[in-house]
Amino acid sequence: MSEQHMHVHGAHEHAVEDQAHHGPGLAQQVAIFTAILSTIGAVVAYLGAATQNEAMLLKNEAVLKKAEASDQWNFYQSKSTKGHLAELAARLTKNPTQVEFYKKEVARYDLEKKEIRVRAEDLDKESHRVNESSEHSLHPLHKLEQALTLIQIAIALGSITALTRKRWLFITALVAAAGGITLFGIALAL
Amino acid sequence: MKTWLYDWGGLNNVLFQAINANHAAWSDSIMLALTWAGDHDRFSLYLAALALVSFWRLSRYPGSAAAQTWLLALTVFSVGYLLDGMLVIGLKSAFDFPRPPAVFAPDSVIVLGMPEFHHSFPSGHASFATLIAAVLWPLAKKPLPRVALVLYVLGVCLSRPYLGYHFPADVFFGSLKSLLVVIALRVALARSITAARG
Repeated sequence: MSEQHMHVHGAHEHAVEDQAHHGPGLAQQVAIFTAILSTIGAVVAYLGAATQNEAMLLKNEAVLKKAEASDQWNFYQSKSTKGHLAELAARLTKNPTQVEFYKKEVARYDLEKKEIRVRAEDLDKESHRVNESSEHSLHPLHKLEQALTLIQIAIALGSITALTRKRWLFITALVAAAGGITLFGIALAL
Repeated sequence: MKTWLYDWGGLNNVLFQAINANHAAWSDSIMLALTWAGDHDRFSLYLAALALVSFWRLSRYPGSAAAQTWLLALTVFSVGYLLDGMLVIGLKSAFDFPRPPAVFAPDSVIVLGMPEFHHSFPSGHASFATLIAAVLWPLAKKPLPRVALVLYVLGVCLSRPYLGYHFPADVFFGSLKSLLVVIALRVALARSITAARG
């Protein structure tokens, strides 16, 4: 019985044959292109994560400042209530010494209220400022995410080029990479 | 349908609790390291390493079948990562299965890290680890590297329920999905190369 051998060409066998004609140039270019792009991708991903962490820390700080401001406003409210009670007591009492005492108390509470109000307003402003910083620090994130996506697409297209040897695909990959790097630059400038 | 396919008639929860219940300092460290190694944030790192080895192979043994196998692995890894990532995001949004801390009482789940409550299915870590192992499988011809790849995937898959982030069904289907993606991609690439070169 005669045996019939049917040889099916695999992907790498095609590549070997093809390389005999074209040389390893494009494949090597693609490999180094991928290595460089993945390194840039790692930096973009790291910056994206760092940006998110920074925004989260600033948001936490804004919440803390708001809580401190809220404490001060509560303190202000209690001083205000005490002041009103002292004012009422001054009106109700007939004893001149006590009237004098309660009036002094009202004046004291008013003075303390002013100080507390200044502190509370400062904390509110600080919370607002930190919250704005948090939102501002998030601005580059969208650009970084877009940059990373384009870089990953460029890597995928580039690696397909190495196997298919379609130069137009490699040019598309280069365009995607250029777009990704441009967006990365824009994100850094924000 | 979900009862049998995902809950496995209750076995999914039982397995989760069996894996998640026992913790020790040494096993916590190992599982955290495995989860770190299976995080898709490591993609750039692994890809750069794979690209550099491919470049070295192509420079040293130009035209060799081995160098081309590395190049094919590089392509499958980079394209597979994009496809697999899209599938994971799509499936997580479509199913939105609850994570263990949303299913069990707080004192019956041990979570190492920030607890998560949504998008349990499928496990992104299990998907990524399987993607790497399946990509590297044809390159690892000897038994030892292949055993290392299997242990890596099993370790990452085990670490997710251990750390309280996924059910065993999440990691099983995540892993299976990535395996199918890599097989399909290798077949598709082989066909497209053949077609492209006439």
